[in-house]
Amino acid sequence: MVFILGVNFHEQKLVKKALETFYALGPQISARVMAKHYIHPRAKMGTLPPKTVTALTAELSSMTIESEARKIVQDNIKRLRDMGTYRGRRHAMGLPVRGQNTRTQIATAKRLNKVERAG
Amino acid sequence: MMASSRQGITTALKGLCQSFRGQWQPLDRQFQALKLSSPARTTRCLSTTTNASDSSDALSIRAAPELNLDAAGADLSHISNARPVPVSASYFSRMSQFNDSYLALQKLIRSYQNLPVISAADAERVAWKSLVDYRQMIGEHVKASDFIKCMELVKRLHQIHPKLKPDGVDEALQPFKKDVQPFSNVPKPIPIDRFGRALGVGKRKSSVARAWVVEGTGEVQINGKTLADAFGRVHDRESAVWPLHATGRTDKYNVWALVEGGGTTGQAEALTLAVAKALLAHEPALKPALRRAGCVTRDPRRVERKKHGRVKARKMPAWVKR
Amino acid sequence: MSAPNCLRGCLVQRPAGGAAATLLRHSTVMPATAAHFSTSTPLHGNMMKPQKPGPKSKVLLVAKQWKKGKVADRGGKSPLPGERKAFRKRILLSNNNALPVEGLTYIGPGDLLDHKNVGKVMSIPDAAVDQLRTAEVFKPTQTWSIFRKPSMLVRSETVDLLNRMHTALGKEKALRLVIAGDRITGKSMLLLQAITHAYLNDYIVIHIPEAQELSIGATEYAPVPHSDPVQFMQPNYVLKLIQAIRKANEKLLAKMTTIYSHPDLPQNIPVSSPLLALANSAKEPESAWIVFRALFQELTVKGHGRPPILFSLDGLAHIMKMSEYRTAAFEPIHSHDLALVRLFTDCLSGAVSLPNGGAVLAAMTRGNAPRVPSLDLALSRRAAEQAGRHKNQLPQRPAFAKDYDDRVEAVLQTVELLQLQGVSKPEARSLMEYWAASGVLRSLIDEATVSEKWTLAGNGIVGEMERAALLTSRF
Repeated sequence: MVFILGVNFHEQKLVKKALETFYALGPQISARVMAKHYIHPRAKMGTLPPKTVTALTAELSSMTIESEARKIVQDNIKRLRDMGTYRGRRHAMGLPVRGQNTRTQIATAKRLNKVERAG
Repeated sequence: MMASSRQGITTALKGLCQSFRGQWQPLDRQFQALKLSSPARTTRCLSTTTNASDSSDALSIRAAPELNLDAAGADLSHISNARPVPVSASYFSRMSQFNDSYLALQKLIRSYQNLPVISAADAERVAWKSLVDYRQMIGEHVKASDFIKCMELVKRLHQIHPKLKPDGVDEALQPFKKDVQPFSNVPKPIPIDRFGRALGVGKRKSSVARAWVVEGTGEVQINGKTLADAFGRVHDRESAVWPLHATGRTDKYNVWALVEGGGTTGQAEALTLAVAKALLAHEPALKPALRRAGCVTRDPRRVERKKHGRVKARKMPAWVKR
Repeated sequence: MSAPNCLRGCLVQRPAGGAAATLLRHSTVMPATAAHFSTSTPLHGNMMKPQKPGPKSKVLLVAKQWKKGKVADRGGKSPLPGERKAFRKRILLSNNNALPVEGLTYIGPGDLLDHKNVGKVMSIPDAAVDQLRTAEVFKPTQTWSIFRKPSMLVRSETVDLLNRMHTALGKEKALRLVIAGDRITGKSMLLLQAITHAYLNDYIVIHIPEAQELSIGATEYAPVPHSDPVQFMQPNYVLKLIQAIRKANEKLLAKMTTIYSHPDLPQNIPVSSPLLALANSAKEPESAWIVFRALFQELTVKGHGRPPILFSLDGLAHIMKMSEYRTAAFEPIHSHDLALVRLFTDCLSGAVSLPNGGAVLAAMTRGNAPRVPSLDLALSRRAAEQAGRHKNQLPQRPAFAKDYDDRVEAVLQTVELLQLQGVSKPEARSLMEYWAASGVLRSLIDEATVSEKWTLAGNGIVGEMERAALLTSRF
């Protein structure tokens, strides 16, 4: 088990996939983070030396990921809501924001669109 | 109606049957004495049909001049029992053309029955008209039994030794031959060029292959590639050189081939045919062996066309309730 | 093809009446707890435990599933992590079901130089087999597993290549050569023959079995300290390589002694201690590259009883392009900036010389190779040069093409090229006679059979001959 930023990862897990479990850390950023620490693209968590693990944790803690990134999104939505815009209203109603049809296929919007957006 | 009757009359006037000659000649003379039309127009003839016996009887028989009833109207008034006389007595029979030609054949047989003949197997192969074809050509309902008898004469005449065959015979037989003679359609022999190559062409599905086969050591190149590069499947490779394998000549010939169109199977089997044909140019005696190996006949199957109301050529759409 | 399957089918699938019950009961006594191909059965103690439910219940269970049409539970465990790959990559070098071949001789040290042996099938001596296995020269795709002992056909190309190596040895120079050729023409096999010859004649062999392992980003990498321009070492791979070199060349290394002091090594190796000790000092990946550099430096000293070196690599195209690795600034790393690859390419280009003679051999691969236009161009230029074309008439790169790499041309500027093609008919015949004697090819070997297979195999391409003659059941 390897600890990174308070999360426990299995040793067989790919480093790339492990990094991408963090919110606001996608394929591009994870590739860059790995290159920065000389971790090869197919490395697994178990093979990382402890030095690299601590460096990774330090690196990640300085990035805007997880709750900070969520906060930014929530602030943006809140701003729209406060201004009383159509987009803000759609967020509050849990409906698609960008003019999609709503007869069917709005499950994602229903799940995600909130003023206090989680995902 | 008018046109057909006039044609009938002139046709009948033109031909003359020998057997009835004696009886008809006085009438003929009578008729000519009438001079129904001017002599300058005697050569003209409305008839579109020709008769084989025309030339032989040219001297004894002259066609009756064309009737010009308008011009001769005044003259006809004092002749009470004049009527046009048909040239051939068959005019009054049910199958006048058939009878004419039958009689003409009989006459030929009689004239040439002493000429030497060859056996039917040695005579040139000819596709004769069937009864249906013949009926359609002359427009008369010829009886089958009569036709068989007629064909016996035809075949007997056909057996006359070709070197001694008189001139008129072939013309007489011509109407009984089919218009298209399949036996005259013989393939051109494949030449072997000055480099010792024979070019065979083969097709299968939508592939076309050209194979140059030359004596050698068993090397094969297809579209500039080795056999292994050209065909990934071992089965296809075997198909491509199957004629050589089946005749045990894998190491005796080299093959250089171009093949295009279709897929791998089609290309490989087009090559089979092409190589086999080129091989036959080198060694014609291999034909039975290659035929047994299935390398001689072109496989005529193609993709079946799609039909409307069906998903593919045969497949029906899925059955849906309601 | 159908005969063995049919037999199997008849025996297993349709047991009649009472036989069915006995078969099922039998299956309960010996449950197939492991996948049927597993090679690691004794490792798991719980496997041998008898199953709790009695024979009757098992029968019922099977019958029930049969009726419902469900997928039958085959029982057993799924293979352990890595076991499937190990099975896929395993190399079997003998088969007791194959017939021993009469009159098969072992390859001696000078046999592969002798033109009299062209067209003979000869066996690899057991000591060399162990060394070759250690260096991972055998490949799982080669058909070793259907013969009694590893043997190979001596081709005319083999003898030519090894004679050139021998000539270069006399001049104390290295033969630098690329083996190219069509698919399955035997490029890796030729490399194997060269390595066998090298082991039998006391060369030090450094063999990189799969170049792609270096460049596809599957092993650790780190910048080499104090290198300018920066190079990247691959510590784990190099450690593995040192261990393989040490194990395969143990006797030779034990005989030689160091003549340099290597202050930066993690372990103090005094001057004139055996090279084996130096090689043994690589214990940790961190120090692997330093040890490898030191070892290579010692081996390439002129004189001092140093043996010739054979440095070889399979899959050249993989190291002639950008690698999958990235620098810290996220720039792609060229394969030639990887330290081990750089060492090989320097040897191949002649920038690093091997003063005691030997050879630098690189085999191309066609099965799983990236398309590298600059490599193709460079090789076609070498081929044109060898064909005697003038320098102005060599193939040029297309005027507006962008994906050409000057570093590739620089490496391959002066190498020789061996273009491998099919075997000749006498060689093919000898090979097929060996197959027939081993009992894997059941047909009379005469001129017609040989000629037919030779033609079917695209004018004697060895791998295709195997496909057409031996491996027919695979298709």
